[in-house]
Amino acid sequence: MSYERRTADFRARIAAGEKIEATDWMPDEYRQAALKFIEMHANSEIMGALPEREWIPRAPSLRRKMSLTAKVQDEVGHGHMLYRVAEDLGKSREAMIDDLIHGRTKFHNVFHYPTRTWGDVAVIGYLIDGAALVTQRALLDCSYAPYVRVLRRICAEESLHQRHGEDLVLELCSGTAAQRALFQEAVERWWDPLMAFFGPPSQPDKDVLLHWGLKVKTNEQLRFEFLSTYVPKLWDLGIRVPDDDLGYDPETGEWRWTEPDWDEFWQVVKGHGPMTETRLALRRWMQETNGWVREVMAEPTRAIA
Amino acid sequence: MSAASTGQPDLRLDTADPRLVLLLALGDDELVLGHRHSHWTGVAPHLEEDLAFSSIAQDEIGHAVVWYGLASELTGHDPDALGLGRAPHEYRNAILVERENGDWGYSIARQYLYDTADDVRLSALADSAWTALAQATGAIRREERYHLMHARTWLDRLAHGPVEARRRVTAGLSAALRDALGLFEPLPGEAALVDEAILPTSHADLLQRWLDLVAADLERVGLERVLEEGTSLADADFVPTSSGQMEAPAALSAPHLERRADRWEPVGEFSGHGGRWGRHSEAFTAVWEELTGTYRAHPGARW
Repeated sequence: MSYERRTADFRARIAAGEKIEATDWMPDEYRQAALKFIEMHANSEIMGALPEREWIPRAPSLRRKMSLTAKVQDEVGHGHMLYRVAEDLGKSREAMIDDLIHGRTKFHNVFHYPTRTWGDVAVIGYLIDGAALVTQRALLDCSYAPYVRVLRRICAEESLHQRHGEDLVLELCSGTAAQRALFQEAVERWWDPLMAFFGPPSQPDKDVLLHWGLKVKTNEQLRFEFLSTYVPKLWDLGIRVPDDDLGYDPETGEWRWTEPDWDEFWQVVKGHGPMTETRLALRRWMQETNGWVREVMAEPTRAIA
Repeated sequence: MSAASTGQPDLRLDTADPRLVLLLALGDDELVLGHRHSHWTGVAPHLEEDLAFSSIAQDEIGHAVVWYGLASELTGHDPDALGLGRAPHEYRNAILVERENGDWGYSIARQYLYDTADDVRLSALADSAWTALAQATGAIRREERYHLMHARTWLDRLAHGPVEARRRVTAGLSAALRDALGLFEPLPGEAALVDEAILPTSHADLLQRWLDLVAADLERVGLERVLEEGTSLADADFVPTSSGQMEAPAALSAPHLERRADRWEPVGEFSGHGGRWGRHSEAFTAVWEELTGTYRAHPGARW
């Protein structure tokens, strides 16, 4: 059978809603697109651990210190599982880490920003994890079966994180004036990165991920879901959202919102975010410093008499 | 230690009760080490180890909450106030746990030396005449068994690993050993605790039990020579208290270790004052500011 014919059959399987397994034949374009997408997701999990881990040592209570450690641990665990899924598509974890720390591959834009206060921990836990959950739930219907299986577990844990985030937000909003101000100020700083989270409007005919069923919803659909879920909750809490034009139009059934600065978005995509270099430098340094530990781990465990 | 000028005032504790000093020593060791372990979260040398160290950190902080919970019953202050609301010189942790993480070799060496000492201490406390204290050791020991297994596995792995790994863990053990003896510094009021069998075994006897255990492990991996090297805490540099008063820059000097007949023994006594008396090293300044800063900045807040 010709490559074109096999590819056409493969496309038909996806169109019929069938799932692809790692051992199935797949076109090179599909393999590359899936690898790139899942690799970036894995990168984002371990890079996403960095902004949050900075607040573990500064957590305001013993309970929060433990729960934030547990949460960041989960994110690292997600990275771990996702790298395994990506590895089966033909690239080693070492190569993926190497590409990440040298800026040859990407991680999600939202993790290129600094975390300045405990309010940022609440924003990440509630709104950024909320946005991630909207995206990841949509991916449960994607065409690559091993990814879907891992996503099911990730979504279950992310739902817990999201409740953890909501708890942090309620604590701050019902606390002292200073606690409330921490959250309000953090929402203002994070709003633009949040609107950029879902990316610029999708172009379905050019989007290779939509083409292969690796994504099933457009960026607009995801942003719409996010706004519908979270903006009313923020308003209920009396939190000001820094977009004066933001509002739901019942006539069109659409949200009105101000587009973020897409130039900044593309700068971050290219690896020029405010914290990109700092965070990659930290990872590079850890990688170089700990080469000897990886050497130990690569050796089979020896029996000790 | 300038943060003391604003925010939450320092908690003033009456530490005349030696039971409180014991609980603070136990809780502060666990909290400060958990804090240091959690610095590995997200940046450990390997993803699997990142997960393991994060778990251990959470367990240690959870154990601190247990000890502060008992201390709450004595003082009426909640565990957060006890854990995050004291002035630096009121923390009773041993200096070992406040040191920087250093490299992975040091972190593993410290975890090993600490968790073996904690095991010895908890086994003794399981027979405490203070029932609540004895009961608290049950759940803690179940988790600590896993920590001990983790530390021993890594000790063996590094000691039998490539030359560089063996060199690193040897250096880590040598650097941490002196401080580890400080875990057995006698507590203020210890005689009363031993008399009432609240602490059924004195720290002097616990030190010998620990030494037997560690010597056996180190001999097994051919590293017992680290026991002979550097067993004084003389270079510990001590810091001013938050009230601006300079504590006497006393250093803790620990017994040295000698092999006699077929066992290693501590020779000599502790002199001077270390962590159990609230005297800390320069490294504690950074720990204290980071650990307590957010809590202290928000008087009256609930978290």
